[in-house]
Amino acid sequence: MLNRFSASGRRILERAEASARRLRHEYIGTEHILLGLIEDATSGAADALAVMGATPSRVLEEVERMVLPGPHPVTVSTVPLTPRAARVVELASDEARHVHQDRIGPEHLLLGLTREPDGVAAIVLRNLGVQPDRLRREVLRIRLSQMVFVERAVRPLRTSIARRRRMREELLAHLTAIYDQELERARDRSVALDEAKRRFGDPNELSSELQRALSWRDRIGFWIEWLFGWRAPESAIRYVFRQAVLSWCLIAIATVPFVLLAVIELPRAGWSYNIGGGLRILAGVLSLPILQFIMGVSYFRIRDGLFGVFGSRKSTARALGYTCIVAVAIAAWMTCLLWLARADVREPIAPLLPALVAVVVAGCHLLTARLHGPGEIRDTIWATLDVKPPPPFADAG
Amino acid sequence: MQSIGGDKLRGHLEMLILATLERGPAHGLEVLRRLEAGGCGLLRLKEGSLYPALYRLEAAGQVQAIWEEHTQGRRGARRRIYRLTPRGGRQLRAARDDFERFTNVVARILAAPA
Repeated sequence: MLNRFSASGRRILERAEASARRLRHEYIGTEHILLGLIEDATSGAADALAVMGATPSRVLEEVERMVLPGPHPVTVSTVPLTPRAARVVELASDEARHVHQDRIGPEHLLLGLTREPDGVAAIVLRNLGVQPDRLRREVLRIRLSQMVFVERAVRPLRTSIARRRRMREELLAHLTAIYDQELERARDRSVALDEAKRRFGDPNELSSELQRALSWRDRIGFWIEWLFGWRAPESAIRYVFRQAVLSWCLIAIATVPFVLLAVIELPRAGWSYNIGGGLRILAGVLSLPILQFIMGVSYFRIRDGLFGVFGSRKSTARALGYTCIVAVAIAAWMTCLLWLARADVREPIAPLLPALVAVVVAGCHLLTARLHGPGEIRDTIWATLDVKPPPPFADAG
Repeated sequence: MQSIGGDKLRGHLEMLILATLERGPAHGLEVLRRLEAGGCGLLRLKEGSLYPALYRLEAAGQVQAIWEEHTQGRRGARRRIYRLTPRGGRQLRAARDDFERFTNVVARILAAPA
């Protein structure tokens, strides 16, 4: 497990264990990780907290107020993590992955602590007035600055999201590599960042050059995705609603020939039950976008619950709950559709077919969220970065 | 010696990239390093501008790029490795011949007495 951590990350865990022993606890909990973070002056996590008013002395005071020392000294050779602390490590791993970093560092551990809201550390930080969003911007300042720089070049491009994803990753990797080179030379992070940006070039110019390198295929991909895909930074609900409306329009257009046919046949054949049945099926099909809306909203709840992002707590139970809602909605819709189609036939409807379809489709929904979730989440983080350059003379006055 | 930059460089950049990839596959940073080493540091190029050229070559089928499998213990994100395709090799040979012919003609004209 330790190889998932950077060198500085590992140091934090060592300090956390030392804190646990000092407090005579036979476990490493979230509070010990927090103590380990504030004791390490080199990591920048302590600085970020101090900037927000959570100085080391205040944090220590608050932790000691909430946690009593143990009865006797710790004798075990290794002190294990509590389940909650282990979850914090997983959340830290997510935080690293969200910004394309492969090793867990102190900054990711700190963010992981804030995302486990029932942990002692999170309560302490809340009591000290630390806001998670502001903390994230402060702690990942350099990394977010690099990502914003790349995004300035990539966001205006008229290309598919797959292409954009590749470019973001590749350009960020290059910028990071030259930043690391400059850091070796300059030893100062801001200086190294400015120098790396200078070497890389102006993002707006790069954007025009990149656009010229794209083909008509990319442009088509862009327009298709613009029509059917997510337009940052719209909310999930608005996106699903827009898709449902679009679906409804397409279905309505597709049924026009059938309606015309029915209108033509009506005077000749009279009102036969065939047309009545057809209209009932039409009503069923036109209600498909409603099911689509329910499924769409549930998809985002499932995804956010599986990964604990965008305001949702990481909870598999929640994700499964929404999967069940999807299954029930599909089963209900299918049953209604079958009932409408056979309203004239006095035959009971076998419940097996709707139930089977519901389980299969809901299962695919869950699987899609699990497989595509991480990529989608990263895309969303990129697409919602604030890339407006700061106003000039921002420090004046 | 004045450094070579701007439009003069951009015009030949794709040919130069193909030439460096002839030596073996490389990712963006490595291509830049080879260019810099070969040009004795006189090629002034904004590093980001390398990528539009690489993407154009990729769209033209003259280079092929794949993500590297593992980062091989190296710290950092995975990189995209570019390699020359047969079509790229043909293009490079044609570009070399063209350039040689061009420089011969220009050299002759420049060297001719007034």
